[in-house]
Amino acid sequence: MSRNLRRALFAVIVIGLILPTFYIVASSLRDRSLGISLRDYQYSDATVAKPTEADIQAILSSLEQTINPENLTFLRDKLSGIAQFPASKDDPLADYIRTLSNFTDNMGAIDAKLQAARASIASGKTEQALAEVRQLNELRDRTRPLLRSLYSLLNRVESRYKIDTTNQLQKMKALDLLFQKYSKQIDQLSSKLKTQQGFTQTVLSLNASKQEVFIDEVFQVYGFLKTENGTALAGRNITIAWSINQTIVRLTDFEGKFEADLSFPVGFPAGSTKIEATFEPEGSDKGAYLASSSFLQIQVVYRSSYISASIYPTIARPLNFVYVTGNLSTVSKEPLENRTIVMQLDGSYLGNTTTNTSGSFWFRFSVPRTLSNGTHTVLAIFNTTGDRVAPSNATLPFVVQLLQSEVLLRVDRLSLFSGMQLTVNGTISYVNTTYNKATAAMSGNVTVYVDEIPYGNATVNDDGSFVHVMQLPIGLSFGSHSIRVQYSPDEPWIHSSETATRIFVYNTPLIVLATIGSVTAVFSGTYLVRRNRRAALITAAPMQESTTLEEPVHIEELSRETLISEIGAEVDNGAKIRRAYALAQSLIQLRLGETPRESETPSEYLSRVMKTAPDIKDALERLVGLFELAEYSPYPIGSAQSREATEVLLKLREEIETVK
Amino acid sequence: MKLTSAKSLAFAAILSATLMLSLAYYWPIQEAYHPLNPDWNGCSKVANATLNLTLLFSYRIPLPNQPSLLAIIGPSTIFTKDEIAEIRSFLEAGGTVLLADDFGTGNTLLKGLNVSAQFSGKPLADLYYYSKAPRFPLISVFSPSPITANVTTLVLNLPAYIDITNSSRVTKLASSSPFSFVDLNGNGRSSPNETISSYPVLVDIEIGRGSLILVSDPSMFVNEMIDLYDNMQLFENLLRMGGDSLIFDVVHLEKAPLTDSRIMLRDDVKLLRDFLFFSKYSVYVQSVIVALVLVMSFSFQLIRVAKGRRTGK
Repeated sequence: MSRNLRRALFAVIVIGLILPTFYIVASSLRDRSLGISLRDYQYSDATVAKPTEADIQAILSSLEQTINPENLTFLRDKLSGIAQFPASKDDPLADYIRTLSNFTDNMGAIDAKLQAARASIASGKTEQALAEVRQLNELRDRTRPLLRSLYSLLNRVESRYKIDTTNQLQKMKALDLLFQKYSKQIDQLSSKLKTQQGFTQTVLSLNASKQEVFIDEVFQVYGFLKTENGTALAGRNITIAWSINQTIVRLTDFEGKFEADLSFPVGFPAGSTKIEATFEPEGSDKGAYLASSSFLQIQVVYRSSYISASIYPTIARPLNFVYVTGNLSTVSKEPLENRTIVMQLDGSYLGNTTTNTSGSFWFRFSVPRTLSNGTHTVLAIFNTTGDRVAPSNATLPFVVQLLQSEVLLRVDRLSLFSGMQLTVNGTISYVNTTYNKATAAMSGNVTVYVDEIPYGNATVNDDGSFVHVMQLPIGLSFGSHSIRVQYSPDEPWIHSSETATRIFVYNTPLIVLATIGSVTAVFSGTYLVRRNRRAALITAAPMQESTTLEEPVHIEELSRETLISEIGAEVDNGAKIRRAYALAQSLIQLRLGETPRESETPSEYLSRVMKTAPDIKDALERLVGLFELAEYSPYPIGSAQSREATEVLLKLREEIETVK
Repeated sequence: MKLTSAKSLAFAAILSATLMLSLAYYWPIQEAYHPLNPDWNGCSKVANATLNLTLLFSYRIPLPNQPSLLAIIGPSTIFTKDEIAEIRSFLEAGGTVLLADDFGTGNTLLKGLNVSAQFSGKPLADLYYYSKAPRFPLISVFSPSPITANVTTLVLNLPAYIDITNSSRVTKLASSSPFSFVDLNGNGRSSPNETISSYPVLVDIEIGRGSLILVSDPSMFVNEMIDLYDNMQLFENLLRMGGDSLIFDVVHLEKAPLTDSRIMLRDDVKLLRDFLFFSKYSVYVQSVIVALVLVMSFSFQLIRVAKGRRTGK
């Protein structure tokens, strides 16, 4: 087989086996290295993140920048379509944004309708104006509850996310004023329309003895009912509405004055509230006077309460009992008895207790085993539902101390084939050496993860040791993989811990494929090389019967010049020696009749020929030596040795000529 | 049997070819956004949304004249002048082109088509309206259009947004919530220099009689995202605009060197298999093959016997 053919065969094997293997390995490595690309994340792997306080603050700031009572267009555009967004039902912020969107839409509609009504009045289209005012009233009725909701929702947002909503509240108040302005304009339009129909305009005023009142505190409101010319209207009923759906009716005196003593009941929400006085013409007044109303804003406040409390112990372990003691009073030290104090731990409900006659209370709880290491907060809350005092609370921090553990991890081998068994063992120990190990044996279990996928559990022995034997999947990809062990203690006061190591996995199917390919290549190559060499030996030798029979070689053809030229035709020195040996065999066969046998070695052939022609021993022995050197020696054959082989062959030819 | 050089070479070649072809056929397609990739980041689900699917390996073959949807999802190589001209002709003839891109090479096509919009190349996240994490923003602000019919909410996956330079020539179809922001530092949280605002993510540009639809996120069409919210509904609407005929551009996808050849090999093997086993001629073809094998074996034996007689063996 020619060298070119061998090269072609080798190339085919390389292309056929090595390149596809390389393609697969390269693709696999590339895919792993690009596990998280710039363009997309694996959605199923993403962890759920909740908006932080900073996020909520940023959202409210973004809204604040857009809320402008002078021009609500930007806010309306910003919030258009917001109602379509899915949001969690119990999130007050979503409700707040949605309500604000609806409120803004309504305000826009009121503004537009007001302008339309004014235009209708100006152009004398009274009927159309009346219809528009009716629509305005409906719009106002729909918008008012939205405004109230905005305040309460903002409160809930503040308490839920623990953020400051003062700026947002100011914007709300500005929107509230705008709403009052629109409301007044609607009333004015309504009155104007009725005046146009021959009614007398009435004016109602309303005042209060105090601008800020406590719950349950009695205060006085008073006012006057007059016509627009200043004539007092006596003996008319004035309806005063305050608190939650509370109304009282008072009669005006000869000066048109009315007054009433009011108070806000326990349970009424603190803050700014409205008191409204209304005059509705009755009987004969219906055909003579227009209705009128007036309102005033008043601040309702609760008396402040104060909780002084302490917690013991301040450092505890899970399942330990912790005691909270304290006292509830007003700021003027008046004890508040028989009040319920609600206890929360990190925002979750723990239980409640009641104050005694001196306002004192105590509460005991067991530290939950799920609590993490570090500082936690107990909140003692006094809620004032149905009380005349304001709510208060006390924050009591305490520290949960867990025992730190650590995992020492060992694997029985750092590199292995996929599908093989891997033994993962190790020990769990306490980091805090002052802890008495004898009193608490280790317990719990460890979970073994391969590339963050759980592969099994093992129980931790009393001495902290663990062993887990697992079989790696046959298809585990080629390369480095992480083995992570996570210790989950049974005892709640021991902190879980974990550690990881890396192993290198050879993908067995890939290795088998590559091995088969390599072995096939080596065997094919070896076979073809040996076959080539043997063919070179036999080509010139007349031992092949068929060649001898069909084309007998004559001694004349093996002249001195022919031998030199035959050897010279070979390219490398080794081939020249092998050629010389083959020609020597041909000479011996032709002259002495000793045919080389396929089964015998060169030395055996030499021994056999020596028996027939001992005279050529030296030359043939040297030639056999050179041949064995060329055929079997790993060392390179020099030109001196090939030249010597030619000379020995020529000498052998001469010696054979003389053999009888 | 005596192994000659020629036989050895032939054996090695056949072995190599068999191994190569087997690997080429069975090794899965793993390229992101590829219509034959069934993994999470592939687009096999959208590709299977219609029976009338054509994979586009080259723009040298003219695009069809009848209404079709040409989907270019996640392009990673630039568009040549010839390709842009071909896409323009397709659009002018009434075709629909979906170009979904974020940080890829879609802008080379937009520049070539001289449209008044381009992909910003800046990541978009949302402070509040998101699924799982801010990098998966929800989109619920839509303009009425056949493209957005019955679409209430979309979920994107680390999208960009669309910069519109001339709003009179571009129809905005969907925008992010007013609380989305350009997440320049990629931390999923807004920083002072990251403006909180609503950004366009889906626009329609009329070119000739056709429509060029830009979506600033190719990942919303990958297998893992397509079934979430109304992502599939949006694609089905687009497909409907294209007469339920989908041409999927694989020319501009980032691919391993031999992927296209492997796909063609798969197609050829499938074609051959269908012809041999499932066509109406399969019985005749199979009979002819069996007959040929028998005749060849018989002829080979005859030749060997004749040669043996000649050499006296």
